[in-house]
Amino acid sequence: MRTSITIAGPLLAVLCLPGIGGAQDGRPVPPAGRGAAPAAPANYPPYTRPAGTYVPPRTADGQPDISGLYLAIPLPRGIETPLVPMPNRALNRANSEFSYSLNERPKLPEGAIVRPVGVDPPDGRIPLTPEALARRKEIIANQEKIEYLDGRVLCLAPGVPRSTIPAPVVGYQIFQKPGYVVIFYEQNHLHRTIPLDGRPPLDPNIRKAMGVSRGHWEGNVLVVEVTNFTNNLRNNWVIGAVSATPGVPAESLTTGHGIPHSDLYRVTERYTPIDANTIHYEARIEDPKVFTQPWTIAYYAFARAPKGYVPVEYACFEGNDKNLLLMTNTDISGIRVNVP
Amino acid sequence: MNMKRAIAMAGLGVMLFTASAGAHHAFSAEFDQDKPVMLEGALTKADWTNPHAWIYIDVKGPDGKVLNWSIEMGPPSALLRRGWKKSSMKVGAIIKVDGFAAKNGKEFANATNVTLPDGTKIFAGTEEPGK
Repeated sequence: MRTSITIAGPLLAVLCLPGIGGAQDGRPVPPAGRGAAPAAPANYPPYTRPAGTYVPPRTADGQPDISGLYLAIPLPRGIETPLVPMPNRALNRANSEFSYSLNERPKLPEGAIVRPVGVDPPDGRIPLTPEALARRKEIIANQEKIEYLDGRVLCLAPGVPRSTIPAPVVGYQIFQKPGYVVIFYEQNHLHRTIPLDGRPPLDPNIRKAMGVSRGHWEGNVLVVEVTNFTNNLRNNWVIGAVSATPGVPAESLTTGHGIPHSDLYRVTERYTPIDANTIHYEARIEDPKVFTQPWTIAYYAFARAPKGYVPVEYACFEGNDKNLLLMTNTDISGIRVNVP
Repeated sequence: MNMKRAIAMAGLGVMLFTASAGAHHAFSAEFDQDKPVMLEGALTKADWTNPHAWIYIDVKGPDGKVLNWSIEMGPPSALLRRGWKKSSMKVGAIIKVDGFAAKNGKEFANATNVTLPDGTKIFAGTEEPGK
């Protein structure tokens, strides 16, 4: 139904401005966001795994108790480069604004943003094989084609550690039962069941989008080996975020966009409780078909949700019709489930 | 709105739109960051849907013709956490949107900010642009 607009006549305006922001005055213009690489400093301070001096209470079966509701702490920097802090934003604050509220975001330790999320190799760069880089270039060059779409855009499970890469839809609930840790993700109704009894992984022929997790406690640190990932998609990035800025070379992207994995992909996660409200996350990523060496990301990932917080459903598939409409001119809105 | 000012603001929008992340959608497959738009018009509908909320506004073009634009915002969960509610968007309200137009040249845009009738400006996208 169209509302009358006559009363608002003077206010109504539309302005399409192609080319604004381009090199109109002859100066070179840096790529505008969306995966562009900011200037990186020559040397980063070394990564030191935080020592978890905090001793959590114990569950009935003696596990360190980290259960509860958490929200993603926005990444204060890029996967491969530190972000340039925004003006008027304290150094220990993230640039992005999607957490519960800015005021409730935890204060990160001093120096938390001075180096990339990638901590090993020390330069933060993802150690791609030449074949993987070529594949990434192909993906970036074709990212506007529907067959190259990111699996997450298709509302598919993003795997590990990507489910832990902060996004506006990322909240978590950690449950602990005797012999198990279970993580629920707000995103796409995902969950992982992590047995702690030392059982072997499943048969390699059994594959799961979120992988198969096997965990154990090292002191107060939850260590999880994740294997058996599905490899039936062209486009399930290992980490990823953000569609890449058109025209930016794949080599200079800093977001993980366009890095798929192979059947040999495996991840070792470490969840380190820093205090009663904060969990630090580390993931070591191995895939000899894609990376020249194992590499590691680390960041403060989980902040205990404010009291009264209720997880919000992110039913991605529910209304995911506009991608198709915009990319292929196919309108499936008539078969979409309408939620009152 | 003064045209010069509008152009300047649109340019600024692009320059500051760094590190902005598509939480879900493939921004560059659908929208064009070289096509910033500023839209103003009466709200005709609001869809509080995943993976993105959408609002629809009637916008009068330079030729006087009124077209109904579809405006993509962030996911409801993210909007909720920023203080949005479904009831924030009232049909008939005159709202302003700045964002980026779709590549397909039709009346679609991805919102960066939405300004409500009382002047409240709310970040509507999936991550905060620089400001």
